[in-house]
Amino acid sequence: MELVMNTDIYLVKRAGSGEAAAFHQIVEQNKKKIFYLAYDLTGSIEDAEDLSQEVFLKAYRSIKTFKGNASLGSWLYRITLNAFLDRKRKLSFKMERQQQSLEERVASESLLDGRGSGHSANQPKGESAATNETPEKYAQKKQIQVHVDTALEKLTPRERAVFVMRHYQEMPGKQVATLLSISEGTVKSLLYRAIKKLQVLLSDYRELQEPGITASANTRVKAREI
Amino acid sequence: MEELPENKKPVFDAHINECTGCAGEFREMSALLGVTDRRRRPEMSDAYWDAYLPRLQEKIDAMEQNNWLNRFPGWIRGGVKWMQVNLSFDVRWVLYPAAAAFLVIAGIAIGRFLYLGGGQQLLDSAVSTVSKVNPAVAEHFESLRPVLIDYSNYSAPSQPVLQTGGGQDMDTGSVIMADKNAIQKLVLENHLLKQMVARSDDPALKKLMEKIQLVLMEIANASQDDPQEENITFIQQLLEQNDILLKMNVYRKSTGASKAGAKGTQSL
Repeated sequence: MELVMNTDIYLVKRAGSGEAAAFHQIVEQNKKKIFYLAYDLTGSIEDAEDLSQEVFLKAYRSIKTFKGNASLGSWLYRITLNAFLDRKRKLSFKMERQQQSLEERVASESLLDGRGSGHSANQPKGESAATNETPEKYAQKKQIQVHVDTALEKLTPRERAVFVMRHYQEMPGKQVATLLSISEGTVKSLLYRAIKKLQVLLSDYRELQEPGITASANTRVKAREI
Repeated sequence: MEELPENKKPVFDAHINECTGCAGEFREMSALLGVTDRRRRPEMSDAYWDAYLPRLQEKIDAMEQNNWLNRFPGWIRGGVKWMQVNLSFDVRWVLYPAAAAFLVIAGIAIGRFLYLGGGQQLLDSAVSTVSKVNPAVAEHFESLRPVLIDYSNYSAPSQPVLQTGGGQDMDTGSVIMADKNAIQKLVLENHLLKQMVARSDDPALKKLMEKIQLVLMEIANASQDDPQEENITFIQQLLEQNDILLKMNVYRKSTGASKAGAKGTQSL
């Protein structure tokens, strides 16, 4: 970890002194991570592209302020979260997206297939959607996805940020608290509120569970400090 | 990912098996997280990732073109870029206040040049501000004026003045006519008024009173019966070099002092 941070600091120093190649290397190393965090936060590819590029622009402008107290990745995550919260405050996201009906959203999401098959947020890359699914099953999966996205949009920006960081980015509560500059207790509170809201919004799907998993096994596999 | 510590898991399991409320809530939470896990992230193509950095670089280039620094000449840009690289703070915090301070100083300098000018303008402006001149000073000037005019207009006669007895003079040219007692009174009056003027904030008037005192002392010291040419010449020079009559006139006019009431002047 220390070696990585030293490398980060060296890279940042070179980028801060105007070396374009060093900054390009920073972008190449972090672009996917930042893009997918932006996607988890915004729920839209276009907004994720805008947000992630804004993050790197901000990093370019303020590269000299990076003190090396945290890793470069954490610094970029912090910029991403702040940029997302700022955008939400200014309501600059495409509002018409929220007005779309669920059916329209399902239809538009099918355009994603043209970019490649999707992979689960919590599954390693490579376990993409099976191609031997029936159309009905595929449509059902798409529908669930859209409903989850729609439900996430109903959360407040901070609730969504905490839920995304804890659940999809699998970050410890302490790290989330540091990135958002809030206490761990506030993280737990926000996460609890987010889960309660999602339970209501996704109540149609609450009986869905992975088959064969019992309650006791759940405590071993799914138990986590919320 | 944070997991429950191993030593706490048996405690957790035991409670879940006993408490139906907590078991139910746990089941619902697990179900929800199972649903949210079904959310898929889009897998972006290689072409998308290859084009990501060039797209970003275009935005950086556009940002650089619109940079505030581009409004300045090249040598300033070079200096600022050097500071941006080598200093730890944003140089705009230095440049903008420095530019503002320069504008303020330049404005003050221009204002002083245009509206104050040289020392003569300063004196003239001071002389012209006569609204606060004490009426006693104006009256003093009124009394003094005829005497000083006589000295100023004096020209040496071609022949000596023939004096007759009884105090009468034969007019054989311009003569100085001054009463010694009147002059003494004027000297004393000037001295008192000078002290009064010294407490005011009118430096031009203070200076004028000092010059007048000098002239009066010369007049007082000159022999009445036989005013010496060199004394008169010196008094004339004092009057002329310091524009005493002119300045007295300005003060007199500004206060609207009456021309009547000249004291202490008598013709010989």
